[in-house]
Amino acid sequence: MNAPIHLVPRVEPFFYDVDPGTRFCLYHAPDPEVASRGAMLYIHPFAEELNLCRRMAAQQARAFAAMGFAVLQIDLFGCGDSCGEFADGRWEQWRRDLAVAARWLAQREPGPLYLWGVRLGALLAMEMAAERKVEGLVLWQPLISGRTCINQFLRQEVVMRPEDLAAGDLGRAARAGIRHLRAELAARGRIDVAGYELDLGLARSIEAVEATQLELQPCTVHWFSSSAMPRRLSTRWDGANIVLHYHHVEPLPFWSDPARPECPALLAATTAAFEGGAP
Amino acid sequence: MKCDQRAVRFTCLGSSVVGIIDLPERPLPRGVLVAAGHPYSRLGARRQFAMLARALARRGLAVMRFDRRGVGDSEGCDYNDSDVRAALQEFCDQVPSLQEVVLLSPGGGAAIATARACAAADPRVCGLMLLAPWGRSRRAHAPQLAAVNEGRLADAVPARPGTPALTLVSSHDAAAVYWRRAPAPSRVRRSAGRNLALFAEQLCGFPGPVLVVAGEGDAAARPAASRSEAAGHERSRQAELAQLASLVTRAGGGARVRIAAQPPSAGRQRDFYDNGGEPDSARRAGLTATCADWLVSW
Repeated sequence: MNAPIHLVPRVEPFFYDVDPGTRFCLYHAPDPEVASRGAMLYIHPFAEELNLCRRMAAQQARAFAAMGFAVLQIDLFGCGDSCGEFADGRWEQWRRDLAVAARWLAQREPGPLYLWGVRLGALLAMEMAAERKVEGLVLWQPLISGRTCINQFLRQEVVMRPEDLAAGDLGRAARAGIRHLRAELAARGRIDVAGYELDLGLARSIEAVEATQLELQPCTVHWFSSSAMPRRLSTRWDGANIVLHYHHVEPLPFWSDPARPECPALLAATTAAFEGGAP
Repeated sequence: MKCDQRAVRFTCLGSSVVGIIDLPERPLPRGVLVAAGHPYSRLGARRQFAMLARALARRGLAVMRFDRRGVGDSEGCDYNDSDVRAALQEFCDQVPSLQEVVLLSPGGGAAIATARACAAADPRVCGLMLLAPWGRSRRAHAPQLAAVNEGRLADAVPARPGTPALTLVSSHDAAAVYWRRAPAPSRVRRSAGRNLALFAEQLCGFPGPVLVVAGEGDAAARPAASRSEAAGHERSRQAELAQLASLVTRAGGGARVRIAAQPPSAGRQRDFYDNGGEPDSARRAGLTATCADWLVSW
């Protein structure tokens, strides 16, 4: 039996110097046997979600590479295996990291650039698509508001008191808890949330971003979500030469549940959207 | 000490495996290989292994972390002991000055079994560090957290508030028991006792020195809603650790097995609206010191 021969490494992990410090990157070279499709830059979600999405991102990255995309995954400053403390991360720094990553990718693959973002990474992708021309966006379970991201993050730290549980109105209790944590964050500057140190500056820089405030340049958007397409956004994009493809995917919270690291339906839908030529 | 980071890729049973080595300029002859299985990737929950590896490297220890097959960035599925052996070989190839390697893994019988198999196959495996999920591990609570985030609040209610904290062993099972179908406390205690005896026996079966760092036990229990409840959790944890120590001594492992306890969190969970105490970063530094001191003590 002949063993398969791989002429190019299937995945290349490396550290890349970006001021300040170094970033961990994974490069999936495109399959040399198929026509080149362009470059795909992966943008990870926030905090522990980055960790939980790794398996899904790796699988989809390999699928994109097999279709002819040059795929780069980068851990942003203070995240994953990159340098820096989580609390020192800033939205602006992350945007600079992504600009550097896009330039690195363009040197290897001069074709069209696609951005592929998960959750908060999708919001970063949308902002990047407002600033520069990209061919398309692949958005997995996008968050359209930075404030929602911080709320969901804080919610993990809200401890339900027995009396809250007894009263049964957990939604109200959770909201009260989040308000309290926000006040604490404002007063102390930094608080521990679910094992991460959340900095007021980081929280503010994320909360300032709203997808509905962004002026995207013309591109194609593949929106994969278990919830409906936000009407405010689709209306806004209608007259802006943005071709929107909404793909409903059955909810499997792989980004928050370590017991379910995979969502095969999402992988299949994403691959299907890009199979057979340009989307 | 000045340190460098090196990304490595190697092959195990036809799958590409991705790892990272934190390498001090002059590494000691003893290194650390992080061999964590699902659900942990090479980063650990909340980057804990990444931060620990950097801190240990500053103390002169070369540390390699990698994603087991089918986890994180690595290809394949269904990892087994062969990934750890392949990683060990890669680690020693990359750092030729290494003479022996200590395995580090989140605690449990499966981790000990893997370590024993690797030590039997490779004499360079000289020690074992078992970490219970440290800090306020949210992994065991993740299904409930997901339920809260998605608004399925009925699923987020714990089965029986006030069930005593289980510590140390099989926290995932304990959490499942706690949240879904909490048995009578006496039954929980009996089952915990059996787990503890089995755990002590497994610890003594590893041929070299072993360090156990007990977690604070909250992974298995609803966060305490009051100071008195938290104190009760801490008392039951200390009692369980003392029981484990005596079981280990009785099994003849007293000299080789060291049991340390992560200090309990003094954070927000003690009191809903009270956030005094030591931040997670300080507790992280304490764990690093415990591990580093033990690693160079023998």
